[in-house]
Parts: sequence; structure tokens; C-alpha cells
Amino acid sequence: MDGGAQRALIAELFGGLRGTFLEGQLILGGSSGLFGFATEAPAFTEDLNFLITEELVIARGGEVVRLLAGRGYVRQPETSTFVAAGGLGFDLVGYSATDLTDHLSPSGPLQVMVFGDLSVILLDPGSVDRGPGGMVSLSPEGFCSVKLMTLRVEKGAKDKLQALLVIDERVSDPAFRKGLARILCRFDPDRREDALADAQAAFLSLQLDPGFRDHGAEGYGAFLKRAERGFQTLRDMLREGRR
Amino acid sequence: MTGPTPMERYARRVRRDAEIAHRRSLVRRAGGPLFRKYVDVVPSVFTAGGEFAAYRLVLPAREALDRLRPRAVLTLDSATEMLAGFRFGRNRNIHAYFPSPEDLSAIEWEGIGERRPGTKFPLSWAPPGWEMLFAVVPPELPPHGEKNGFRVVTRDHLIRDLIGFYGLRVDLLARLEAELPEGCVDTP
Repeated sequence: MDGGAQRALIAELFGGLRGTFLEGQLILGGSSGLFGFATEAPAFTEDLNFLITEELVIARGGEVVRLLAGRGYVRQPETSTFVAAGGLGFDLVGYSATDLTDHLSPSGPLQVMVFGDLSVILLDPGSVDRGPGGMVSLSPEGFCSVKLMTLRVEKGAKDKLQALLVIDERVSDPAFRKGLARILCRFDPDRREDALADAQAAFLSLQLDPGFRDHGAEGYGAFLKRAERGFQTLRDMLREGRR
Repeated sequence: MTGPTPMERYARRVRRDAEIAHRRSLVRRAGGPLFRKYVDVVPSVFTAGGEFAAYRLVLPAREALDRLRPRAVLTLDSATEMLAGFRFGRNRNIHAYFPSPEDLSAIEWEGIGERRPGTKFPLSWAPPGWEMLFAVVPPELPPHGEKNGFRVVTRDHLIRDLIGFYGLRVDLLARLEAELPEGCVDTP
């Protein structure tokens, strides 16, 4: 999976939204956030995630659905999932500047799941990069924060390993380290420790099963050393933050 | 009566995952300062870093250990037993690193153990009546010292191996703190 089809859909979507009210409003996130910056960490995903504010969904949800439908993206009934002509899909995922809890946005023409942690992270201006061609995506530090703080049972190890691999790639980038530390400091110390423990457990599962058959993360076995260095860097960053 | 919508099911799954994470967090915090101290450890998995082989011992374990003494670097429960007289797991197997693949061949030539096929032999289990030797040849031997004439991984590396084997368990951490003091391995 080289991500060519996903990259094409991302470019097509951002290009198609130029000049509309959605331009600059969707943020490429989830594992597909790895398509938003230079990295060798594999996304191992087919689906794309775009982040959208709950406030916009409430105010203009119907228009969002119509605009996307007009661009050829068919909404799956009663969901925030849209499917493009080639069969690739994307989900709209909510965040909010005012309600930092996990919740569903109110029923309406479009409803999204709003994630509290995502909302906390996106309050930091450094969590998002605005690139050429109207593309808006999580910055590397925003991506790592989201992956480290995401609480999900299935594919949870994949989230942490992706973060560790990106951290390892950018270990000597002081701006990245500073930005990641700043975003993680938005969470209380217990949450940061849990994130480190979850990363440790994910790294451990990779070592215990080099074939890494954890659902959704098959194929990460080749990255053992890099994940270890990423974990060490994260540990050192959080240790510095405790002082 | 209509069932939950797809989005409501999604929200339930998110809530369930958050509850699981919260419970996991509480269990960790039962370890108090021990959790905080050991969450920093980079775990090491004995089998992950080199060539692995499993042997059924054909000598009594104590005698096998004596024969392996010049070459083996003990780790996991073999190391804790040597250093502090306890095994955390219930198995009686020997876990050791060796410097070279020739050392693995010697285990059979010298009549110490009989190699078992495969590379996925369960490390914490053996058929009833069997005693096992689990051997790994890493690219480089882990840091080690001596105790009672045996080579044993350093305390720091042993902790990495133990957490890599058993996970970040509070009962393990408490035992390490109580029974495995600093300086328990003589390092050169």
C-alpha cells in the first residue's frame, strides 16, 4: 500500500473545496495525517479522516453534505462517512473549541463524533499546518499528540507506534520537540504518564510479536529499533517536563 | 422500537474505550511511585533481539546450568534466582544469552539439551516433566556481570527483560524493589 490513491483523493478533495465555504475548514487527520507531512512512517490505512469543528457542523451541516455530494462524495446513510467514486472513503471527525468532552454533535443533517482530546490538541495553533493547494493537515507534533492521547482499544497499539516512529524521525528537530512538549502539557500529568505507559505497552507488543498481528498494525515489525528510539525520546521529553 | 443509529453505536464504542482506558489507568496507579519509576523503562524482549532456540534439557537443570556456566549469560527468572533466590514466574526453565551460534550447537553436542523445532516455543510453558533451556544469540551480549561464578545480566538490563516478559505488573515491580537491590550483580 503506497498511499497513491489516498494522496490523489486528498489533493482532489482539497482542490475541489477551493473557493467554497469549506476551504481551509477541513484538517487532514487520523492515520491519514501521515500523508500531510514528510515521513517514512507507514499509514497502513485506506480510509481518510478529516477534522471539522462541531460549530460548523451545527451551523452548516446540510450545506457540507450538499457541497460534498456535489463533488461526487456519497454520504453513507446516518453516518459521517463519505465514499468517493473509486470506492475510497473518508470520515468527518469533530472537534470543538468550547466543549472539550467526547460527545455526539446534535442530530441534524450531519452528525459527527466530537473528541475531547482532539479538541484540546487543536486549541494549540502549532497542531496544524497549512500547506500549498489549500491543504490543511495536522502538523507532525499535532499528529503525535493525537496518536499518543487517543484512547482506543482496537488499533490502539498502531496509534502509539505511528507516534513513536514520527518522534524518532524528528528527534533532532528542536521546534518539533518543543511543540510536542507544549501540546502534551495541555494534559494533566496523569494523562501524560498514561500516554507513556500506553506507548511502552505498544512497543512491548511489537517486540513480543515481531510479525505484529495486532489488528491494523501488521507490518510494523520492521520498525522495532526506530520505535525504541522514539519511546526513549518521548520518555526523556516527558521527564524534562516533570522537572 | 428503533435501535441505536450508527453514530450512537460509534459513540458507545468511544465511551467503552474511554472506560477501559480509565480502568487501566487506575490499575497502574495502584502501583503508586513504583509505576512512575518503572514507566520510564524501555522494555526488552528476550527473544526479539537475536537468534532464538529452545532446548529440552536432557540433564537436570542444576547440572545443565553448571555445564553452561562458561558461556551463558543468565537473564529473567534464571537471573533473579541466581541473584536473589526467587523466580517471579512458575516455570523452572533456564533463560540465557549466548555469545555465538556455535554455543547453540554445543548445547546439543555436549548432551545438555535437545533442540526443539520452531522459533515460537512458548517461553513460560513446557510439557509436563520437561525442563527447557531458552537461548538467544544477540548481535551483542547485553551488559552483564558475575554472581556466584555465573554470568548474569546487569540489574538494569534484567529489569528491562523482566518488564519485557511479564509487562509492567505492580506485583513484579514490588518484588524487584524488595528483593533486587542495587549492586546485586558484580560488574567489572
